[in-house]
Amino acid sequence: MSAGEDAMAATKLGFLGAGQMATAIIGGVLRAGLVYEPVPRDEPTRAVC
Amino acid sequence: MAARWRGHGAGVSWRRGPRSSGERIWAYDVNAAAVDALVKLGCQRALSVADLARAANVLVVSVKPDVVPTVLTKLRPELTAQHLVVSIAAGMDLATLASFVPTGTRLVRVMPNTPCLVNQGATALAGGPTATAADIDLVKRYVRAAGGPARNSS
Repeated sequence: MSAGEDAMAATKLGFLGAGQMATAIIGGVLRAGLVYEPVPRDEPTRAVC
Repeated sequence: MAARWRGHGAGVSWRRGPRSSGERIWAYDVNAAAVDALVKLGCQRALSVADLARAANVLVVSVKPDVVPTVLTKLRPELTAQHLVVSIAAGMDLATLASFVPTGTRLVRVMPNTPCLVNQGATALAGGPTATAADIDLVKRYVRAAGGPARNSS
C-alpha cells in the first residue's frame, strides 16, 4: 500500500451531523471501498447493477 | 448496489465487490433519526459528541454553519493531538473555526459543491496553519470519493 492508503487504513471517520452532504460523502467513501474479488465460474457474465 | 462485471484474460475472472468499510465510520446527530440512514449503510452510531471523538480520529463537522459554534464548543474538551478536524460548513473560515478549538488543532476546511450530492461535484479545500501535507492528502482522497476533483485552494 502507498503512504496515502496506509493513512486511510488508519483513519476512523466521525461525522458530526448526518445531513445530505455527510450522507453523500459517506456513500462515496463506502463505494470507494470496493475491492476486486474472484468471480465464481458459475456466475453470469452480464453486468448486474 | 454494487456493480459487478467479469474481466477477461489469463483465465481469471474478477468482479468488483463490496467491502464493509462502514465499521470505520461513526456518525452523531442530535436528530437520531438522521443517523438511521447511515446505520443502514453500515456506519456506527455515536451516542454523543464525546463518544464520537473517542471513536474517531478524523472528525467531519457537517452541520449547518449556525450550529458549528455549539458543536465545536462541545467537541473542544474532547480534542487531542490525534484528531484532525474537517469542516464542510459553508461560510465559516479557518480563523473562525480555529477560535472554537484548542490552539494547534489540525484543521482542514472543505467546500464541496451541490453536485457532490450525486457524486458529480468538485471540492475546494484549504488547510489550517497546523494541518500537514499528509492531512490534506488524506482529506483529498476522501472528498474525491464523493465525486469529482478536489483542489487545494490554500
